[in-house]
Amino acid sequence: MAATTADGSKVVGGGEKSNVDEESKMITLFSSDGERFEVTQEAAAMSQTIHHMMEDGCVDDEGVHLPNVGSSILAMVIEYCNRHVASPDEKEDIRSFDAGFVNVEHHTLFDIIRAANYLDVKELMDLCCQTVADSIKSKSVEEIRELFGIVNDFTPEEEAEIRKENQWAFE
Amino acid sequence: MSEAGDPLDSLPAAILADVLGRVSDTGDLAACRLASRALLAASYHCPRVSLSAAVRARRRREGGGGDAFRSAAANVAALIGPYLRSLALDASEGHGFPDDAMWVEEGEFDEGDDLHLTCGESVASWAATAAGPALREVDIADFWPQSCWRKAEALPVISNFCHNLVKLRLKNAWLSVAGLKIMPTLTHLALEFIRLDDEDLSALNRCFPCLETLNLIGVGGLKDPKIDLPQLKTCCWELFTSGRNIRTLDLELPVSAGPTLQEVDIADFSPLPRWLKAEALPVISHFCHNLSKLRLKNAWLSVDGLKIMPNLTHLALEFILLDDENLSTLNKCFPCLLTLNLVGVGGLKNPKIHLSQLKTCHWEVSNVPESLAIHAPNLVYLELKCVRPEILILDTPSVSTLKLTIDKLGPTVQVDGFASLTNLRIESPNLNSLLKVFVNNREITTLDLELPSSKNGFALYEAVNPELFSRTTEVKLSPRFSYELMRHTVFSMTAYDCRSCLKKLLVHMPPSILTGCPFVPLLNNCAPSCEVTVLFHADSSCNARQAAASVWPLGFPDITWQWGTWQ
Repeated sequence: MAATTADGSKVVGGGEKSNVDEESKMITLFSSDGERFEVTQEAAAMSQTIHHMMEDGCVDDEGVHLPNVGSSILAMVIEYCNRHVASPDEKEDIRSFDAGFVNVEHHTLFDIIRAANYLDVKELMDLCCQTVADSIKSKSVEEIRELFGIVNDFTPEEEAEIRKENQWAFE
Repeated sequence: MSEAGDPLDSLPAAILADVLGRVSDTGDLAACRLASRALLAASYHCPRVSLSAAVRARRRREGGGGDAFRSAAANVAALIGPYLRSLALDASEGHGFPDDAMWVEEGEFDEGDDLHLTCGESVASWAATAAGPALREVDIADFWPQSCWRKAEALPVISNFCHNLVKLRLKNAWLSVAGLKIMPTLTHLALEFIRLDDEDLSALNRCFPCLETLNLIGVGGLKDPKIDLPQLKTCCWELFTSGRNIRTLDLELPVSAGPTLQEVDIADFSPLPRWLKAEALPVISHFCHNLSKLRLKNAWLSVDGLKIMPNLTHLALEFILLDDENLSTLNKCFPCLLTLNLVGVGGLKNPKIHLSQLKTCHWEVSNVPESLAIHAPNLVYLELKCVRPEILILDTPSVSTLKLTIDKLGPTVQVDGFASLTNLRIESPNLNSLLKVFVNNREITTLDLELPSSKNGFALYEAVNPELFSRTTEVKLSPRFSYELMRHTVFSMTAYDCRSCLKKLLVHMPPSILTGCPFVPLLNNCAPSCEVTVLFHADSSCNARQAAASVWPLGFPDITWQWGTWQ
């Protein structure tokens, strides 16, 4: 997924290693733990957050620091963006890639959601939120708790209130 | 994560609300609310909710509770209020169980009214809450037995309360337009199986002026309907009229609507159009300059005054009586077609398709035309179903996939070129002559053979010979062909030792399975590591299948065997 180049920077997916490579139009991203990623501007622009920063001229030669996104998750987000930018019209391939991409533990999925939310990558948000929603559908209360590792801490009174409201509006 | 352990706490409330909106079913939302504090909090901001009467009824039978369907819709709208963006109510299956009224308190209300979702009172119960102005999408599928005999005020009530609605779909109802207000934000409207009290659609045109997409599927009550929508881009119109109320079948699209339309799909109701010629094509060509896709079905169409439509790339005419005997007007006026589907198009005499940019063609024609011709230098995919034309001309040198269903070739056959032909499917009782014409001296890599349903198998003796498969890498023997081949054990092939490059073979087995493999000679001619797929008939016994699957591969260990079922 990522290769470390001579000066220690990471190149994820396609693109030449360069901070100021005009031809490939690269941009440098720094994760919260200080890892450096070289990404094409096209892929980076899938993040509306970064896209607006580029448009407003807020991206200097040093790159963009992302204090809210760790390196492992940022690498995944970049992989997603690179793939979608590389072959936007190959729907079958993209579908297959997406299915594999979200086949991760829930805590990783939640990390990706938070990163995609912060970076404002709409397609990735849609994919991950839909995945969570699909995992919830048709499940019982106990199954939902087991799925996410939720410990029930409702008091009997609280639960009774919720059930009453459920009967009134949801069931 | 909370101390009690709810990982969902780590996600912002807005995201959880988004997730719940994708879940949407109220029963699932109820479970979420009990499962997690984070989801409970998010449920009050859920943007999308769907209620199904049938699903609720099933849950009640499984021991759940619940109020009447109508009040549940009102209550959930009141609860979520200004956060609700999309509401879907589905009573189309009724309660999903006849006479399921055990939970109804006698005298409280008429159980039949509960499932009349499009009546004014029912709509107002949720639209008049804080949700009304917040809603962007509403989808109501009513219960036809309750809605068909009484007019409903869903449209005027929705127009009164849901000022910001963008998409509206109503199904299975009798709708009034009295008091309908203008809805300037509505861009998508779908009316399906509706009796509409707006004969000429004038109220629809006036009150929904900004529609970009309009779907009218099975909308009755119309008389001389006209669509007059200046911003319309896509229109799908399927008419199911009684014929008594439509005096003229004028599929008019006035000037204001035409230029923005990119796709039009109109399926008229037979049998009315058979004796009433329509000017749909010339009118569309006059006004819809930017149309790229057009499908017309079940009509008698004139081409008088038809103008050239340079942007039209996809045309489908299905069950049409066309006043263009030789298709010369079609060729002239639609010169840029990439896809042409002519299915059941009558009125033809010596038709000739002559389209230089055509890539895909599907043509199903009766035996009336004595000659058929296609001149299309860039055609890649051709599906032709005909009977026995006296003259057949296929001037299509770029075709790589040909699917031909034909009884017999006539005396004059011109199939020049076909140098690119690699995928061939033939369904015919006269395989011998057809295979000579289309397979000989060509590099066919995928071959699919089938007999028509009324056929006996004698023609197979001449048709099937080892040369047929010598250069073919993939062969599919469709059901009737497979059956006849094995029934007659056409194995003159046993006398030949002709190693082929056959890499994939698919056969359909008849219901009764023999102990010994009935297509051994074919296997003798397979390439090493050939993949053979055997589809057993659904009626064949499990024992016979298991026996076949265990015995047949023993004689051919190098072959990769796969097993399946067909019916």
